[in-house]
Amino acid sequence: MKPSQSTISIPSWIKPLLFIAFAAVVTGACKEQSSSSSGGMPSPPSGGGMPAPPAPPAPPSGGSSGGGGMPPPPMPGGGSEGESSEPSGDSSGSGGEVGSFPGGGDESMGVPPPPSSSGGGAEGGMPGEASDGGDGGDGDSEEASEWEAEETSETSECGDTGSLPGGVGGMGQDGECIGGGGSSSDSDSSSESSSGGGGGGAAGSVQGTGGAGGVGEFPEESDEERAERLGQELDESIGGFDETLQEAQSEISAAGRSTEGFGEGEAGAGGGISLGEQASGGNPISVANTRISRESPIAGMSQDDIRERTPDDIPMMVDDDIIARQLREAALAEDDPALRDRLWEEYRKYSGN
Amino acid sequence: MTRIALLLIAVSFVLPACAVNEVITAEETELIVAETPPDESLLLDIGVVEFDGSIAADNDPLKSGIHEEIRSAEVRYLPYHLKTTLQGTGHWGAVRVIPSRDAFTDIIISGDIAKSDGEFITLKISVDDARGQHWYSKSYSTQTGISSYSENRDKRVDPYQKVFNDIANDLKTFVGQLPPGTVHEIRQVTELKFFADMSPRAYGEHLTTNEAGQIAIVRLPADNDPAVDRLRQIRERDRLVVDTLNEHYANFYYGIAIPYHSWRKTAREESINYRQVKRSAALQTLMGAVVLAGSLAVDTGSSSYSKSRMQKSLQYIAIEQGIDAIRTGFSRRSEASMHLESIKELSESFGAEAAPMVVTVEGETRRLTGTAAAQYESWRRLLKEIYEAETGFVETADAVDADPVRVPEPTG
Repeated sequence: MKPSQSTISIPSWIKPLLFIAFAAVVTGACKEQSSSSSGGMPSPPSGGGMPAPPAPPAPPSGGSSGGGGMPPPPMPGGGSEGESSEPSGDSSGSGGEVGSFPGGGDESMGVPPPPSSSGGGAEGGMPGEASDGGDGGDGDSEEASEWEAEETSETSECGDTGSLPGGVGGMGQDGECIGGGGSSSDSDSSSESSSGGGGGGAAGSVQGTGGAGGVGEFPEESDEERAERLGQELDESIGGFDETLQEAQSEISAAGRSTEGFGEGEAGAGGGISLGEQASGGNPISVANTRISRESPIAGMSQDDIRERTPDDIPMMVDDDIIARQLREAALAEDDPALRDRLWEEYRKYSGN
Repeated sequence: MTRIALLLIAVSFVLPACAVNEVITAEETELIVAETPPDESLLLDIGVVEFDGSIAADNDPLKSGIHEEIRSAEVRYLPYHLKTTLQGTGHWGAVRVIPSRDAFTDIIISGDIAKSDGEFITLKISVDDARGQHWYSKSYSTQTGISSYSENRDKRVDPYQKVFNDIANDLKTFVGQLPPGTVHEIRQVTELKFFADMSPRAYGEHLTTNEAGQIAIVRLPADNDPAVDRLRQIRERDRLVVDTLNEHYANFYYGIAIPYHSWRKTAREESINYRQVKRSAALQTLMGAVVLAGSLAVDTGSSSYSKSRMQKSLQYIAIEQGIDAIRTGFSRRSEASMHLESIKELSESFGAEAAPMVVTVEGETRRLTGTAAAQYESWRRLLKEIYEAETGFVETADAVDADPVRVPEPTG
């Protein structure tokens, strides 16, 4: 006697629930993939809309409220409230705004053509909804895989660095990949020295300008404002280069210098002449004329004292000529602050600082 | 005939004592120093380029006295000493050693080390100004003396100091003869060359260059040109870069001073010894040959037996002395070459000591100039953008040589 086959009775309300849950899982998977590859799907320019999400297919049996019962899952990068299939981001196509392409160029960027405004978006290779509802599960998985393929193609323009063609904020030139992990901006930012090695050291760094921005990339900015902005960038870059030079000079001064071979023994603290201290020892390489030989008035001054008495805008350089060196020594040796300031002023006038 | 034989024998005995001793006293030149500080606007900046120390591929150090290890150090040591000498006169603005002629400076001094062996030095100096005009070329030489390396000497004075003083004095004399306004013009040209290099769009046409490479001013920037202040700030940084480079040169200069001084002193002694020994060897060989020839020519055929025997004895002695003198001459010649070998060993020892310093200064200067070059390139781009924003003229990529086109301002 054959055993009777047992049948499991499933409540009728469970099936639509299952389908909805499955759709939500698939949609969530799509969202995760898109966020990991490109940081968000770029929205196409205006005139089109994001394809409508795959609506949950109608339940195989009646009793359910149909496809309109549940709101569509949120679109990746769209921020839609769920009812609309239009992109929620700014799609004006103007530069400088996150998520938009300056100047469009959707075809070159690999963005699929916008679907028709009637929504649904089943043409053009877009992962459209299954018009007839389909069989649900398989169709959704195909849609998911198509989304993945599109994301891959869209990010391939800039490799897998998470960068956007055209640049976030429109800082780069067209076609350049800016941002992300491994992309490079305009060549003058943070480039290493082209000379040998460039090992550590501040002298190996170039103060980048951050990209000056091409003409037209800040359309709301007038020429005067742009010139002013660029001028500020230049000032900042110059200031940064000053720091680079200062660090290089510090490295040199740390090495010290012995003048033993010139008959005056070792000068300066630490057994050598460091920057700013050569004045204290005088120029050891004197000439065959004893009229200019004299004892320096700051011979006994420590390096800290010299730094303290030297204004910030005056570099601690030793390559002064005889006049500048005498002015510097006089200023350093002067105890009266007012007179010292006047002497530094004279030094500035003479050396052109 | 007997007297002749006796004379020859006496000469052959005296010959070894004929040592040629050289006593050389070095010449000196007093340096012309400014008694009162000149007006700052009349001060010219000087750039002393690293000297040319190129050596022929088939150079034999023993014959030429040119050792590569020494030369590679001297190409930086000597210019830096010239820089300190010029700086000490007070006639000039900033005096710096520069790695090449590309630096922007009013006067450029370049040189070639023709000879430098511790005893003799010959420098071929060439002086040009920023306008591309060649001022003069001249060769400067001196010979060091016995007191140049004495322990009791004034160590602030280099053994070759005469050469440097002569160069400095001649330069001052030449500038003193320039027509009025030339100094000012040279300073302006230097500045405009820098401006044109950094911002060719704005200042590329302020100077003109003729076929001979000489530069003349076409026009000057406007007094209220804001770009001038900007470019002067950048030029100050360029000066600071050169100053920092000079610190590397200074480290090298002070670091190499003692071994270089030791090499020069010992090389000089060995050179003198070599010359003396070689001369002595030649003289001895010559006299030995003369004695030998003279001895052989003596007529010993005398009628008296005793006289004849005495003449023959003297002849034998003279012949023996002559041969001995010739043999000694040859051996001294080989001894002379030992002094050359000694110099060669000294040079190799110096090279081992100096090589790390040479490599360091080369690396540091290259690193710094590379960093600066990259930075200047970014500034040039910024300046170009600023110029386009201020004037509205945009250089189109398609027609770089065409007239710039004004971009219409956005109307939106």
